[in-house]
Amino acid sequence: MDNKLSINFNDEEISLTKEDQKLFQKLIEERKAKLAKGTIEDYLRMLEKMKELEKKEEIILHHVHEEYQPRLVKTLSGRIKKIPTVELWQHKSCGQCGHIPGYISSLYWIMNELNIPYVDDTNQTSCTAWNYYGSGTSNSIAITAVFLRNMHVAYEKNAYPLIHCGTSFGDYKECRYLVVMSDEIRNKVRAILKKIDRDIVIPEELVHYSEWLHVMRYEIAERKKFNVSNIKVAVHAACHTYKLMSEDYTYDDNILNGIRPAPTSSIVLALGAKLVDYSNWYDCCGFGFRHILTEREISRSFAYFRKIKPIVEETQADVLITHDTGCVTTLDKSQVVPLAHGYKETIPVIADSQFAALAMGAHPFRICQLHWHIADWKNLLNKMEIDWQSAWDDYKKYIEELKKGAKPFLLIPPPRKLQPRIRDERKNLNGEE
Amino acid sequence: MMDYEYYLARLNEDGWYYGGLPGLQWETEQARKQNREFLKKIVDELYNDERFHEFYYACINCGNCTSVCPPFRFVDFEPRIVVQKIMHAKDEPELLYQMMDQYIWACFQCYSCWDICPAHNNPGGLVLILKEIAVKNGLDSSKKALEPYSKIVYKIMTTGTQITPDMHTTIALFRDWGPHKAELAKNIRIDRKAVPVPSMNGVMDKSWKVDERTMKELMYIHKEAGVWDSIKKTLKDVVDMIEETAKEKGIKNG
Repeated sequence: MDNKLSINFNDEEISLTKEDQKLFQKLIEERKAKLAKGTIEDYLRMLEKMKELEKKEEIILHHVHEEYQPRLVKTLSGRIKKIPTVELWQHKSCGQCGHIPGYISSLYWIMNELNIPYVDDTNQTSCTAWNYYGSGTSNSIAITAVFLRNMHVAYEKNAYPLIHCGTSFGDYKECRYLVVMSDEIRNKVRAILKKIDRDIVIPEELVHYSEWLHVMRYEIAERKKFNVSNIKVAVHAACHTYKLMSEDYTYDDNILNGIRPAPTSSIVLALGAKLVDYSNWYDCCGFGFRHILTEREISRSFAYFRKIKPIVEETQADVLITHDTGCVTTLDKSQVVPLAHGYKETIPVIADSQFAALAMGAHPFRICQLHWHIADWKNLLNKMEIDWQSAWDDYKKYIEELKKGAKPFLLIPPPRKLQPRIRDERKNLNGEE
Repeated sequence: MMDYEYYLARLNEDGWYYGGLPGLQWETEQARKQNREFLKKIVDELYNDERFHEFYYACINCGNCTSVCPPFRFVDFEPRIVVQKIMHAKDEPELLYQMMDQYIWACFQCYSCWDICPAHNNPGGLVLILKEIAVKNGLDSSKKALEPYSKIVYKIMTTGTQITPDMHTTIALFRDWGPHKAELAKNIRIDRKAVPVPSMNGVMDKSWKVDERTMKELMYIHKEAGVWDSIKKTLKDVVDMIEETAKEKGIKNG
């Protein structure tokens, strides 16, 4: 690659050396980090008000108490955040569960390996932010009530919410801000929740699963079975984890100079893989909610020409790792059409949980469910020295057994130590027992 | 007093006007068709939204938001324009209308603009409010934008989950996934049975098993929060289906 970036502006050629480009980018990132420190005041005010509302018994705060065995991280703002590590209420993502199930099965498998109890609940809805952000078919009251309904269920189960989806995580940060700061929203939502026999329960911390992987990375790395030191990994951080209410996501001075999000990059580093950098790291994946479904051309173009192609050209990475449903889907599925048009650049796209599970020796298909992904992962597995062909043969055999009526293998969580707070004897919606 | 006719006349055929939205002839025509009171009502709905003052301060026109905006690179959309039009919407509501009738639907809602704005504006959040207002008022653009999207709206509002495995059983959706899609569709039922997550194992019509009561609570929330009523002008058929499903579960609207 040319060592210079040159552009022509009003017939004048302006050029920047690669070193200057890097310095320029670093300065911009540092400025952003400082800027967020300026905006944190509002966020801290919200956290203070949340405690005041708890004292007035207007809300119940779901604290990250000691039984959740919290670990501390620093957020962009410098605030210390508590990340629970056990007894987790798995807040599943509607996108990943629908068509990239290996994301979640890998996470559950890792927790089982680490003997971490959790709840896989059927009394959960998605955040419904797909309608809120994507199509304007929700509103602030509905979206906040949905958030609080789910949070109340987790509180009843005495398990701490661990949010799988980047959008749900960002949306819940926004909802929490609104319900705490706006009396009007709080009162309206309270009235609705009362009718379904629920209270306003707000988690003290909102936690994305990538933050859990971040704090657990050394335990995970200890259980590594495959050497990944020759694997080059590019990371895409999901916009809604670190741009939507940017103050409240994990940063670490030792990871990417503390000026870019730490999770996902940190697990890659802990596992001993080579983390590679690329110029468009800040760009989104091209998902766009409605666009990924009904205006796919723009999603596809953005994903390929702003992410996939530059990543492959600049880094020759072996895999692109991210931590959100929409990002995995968009970056993975958007490679088919450009390849059909003769473009050559392609890279497998998987979640951080899948990469970690693979390194720990999880079955690539029974657990990591790689067959749901499109971009070719065979080279990656070959380089990791995982015998994917035998694993695939084994999976096909398993499928044949299932077809004959065999019982499916299920990931059963380790026994819980905490008991549910409230027995499930709720009234139904007509007020009857 | 502002001369409304004068301002409308300035919306020339190329769609150029204050702040400039070139090439938006369709939107210009739509704005011309509306009466002043309706346009003012839309501005009031925006300014009175409880989120508005969290999302809007004042635009300093620096363009940082546009520089990081993904749609800006591929289509005609600028978050800077959005905030500028909103800043002037009280005096010139037709400009806001021109923009919200189609233009805003290009937004990815990624919030890069909010992350970067030195004035703490949240252009993505403002677009979100404008989309809700567009849907509520049944703007033609919202009908056009959401028509192919109605199955998703229905799924979310009735089950709380969206992209579901049964959507992959036909070739229509996601056909640009290539041969993989056909293979996926062929084996999806048995592959779902091999997903080892208990709440997801074998489930085809939702992302995971959702309790009956959970779905009822969700529908109740949407009804009470006025979501069904607010989308009727844009997605009447979808609301009819949602109400029918809710009725079967014992929840009535109104």
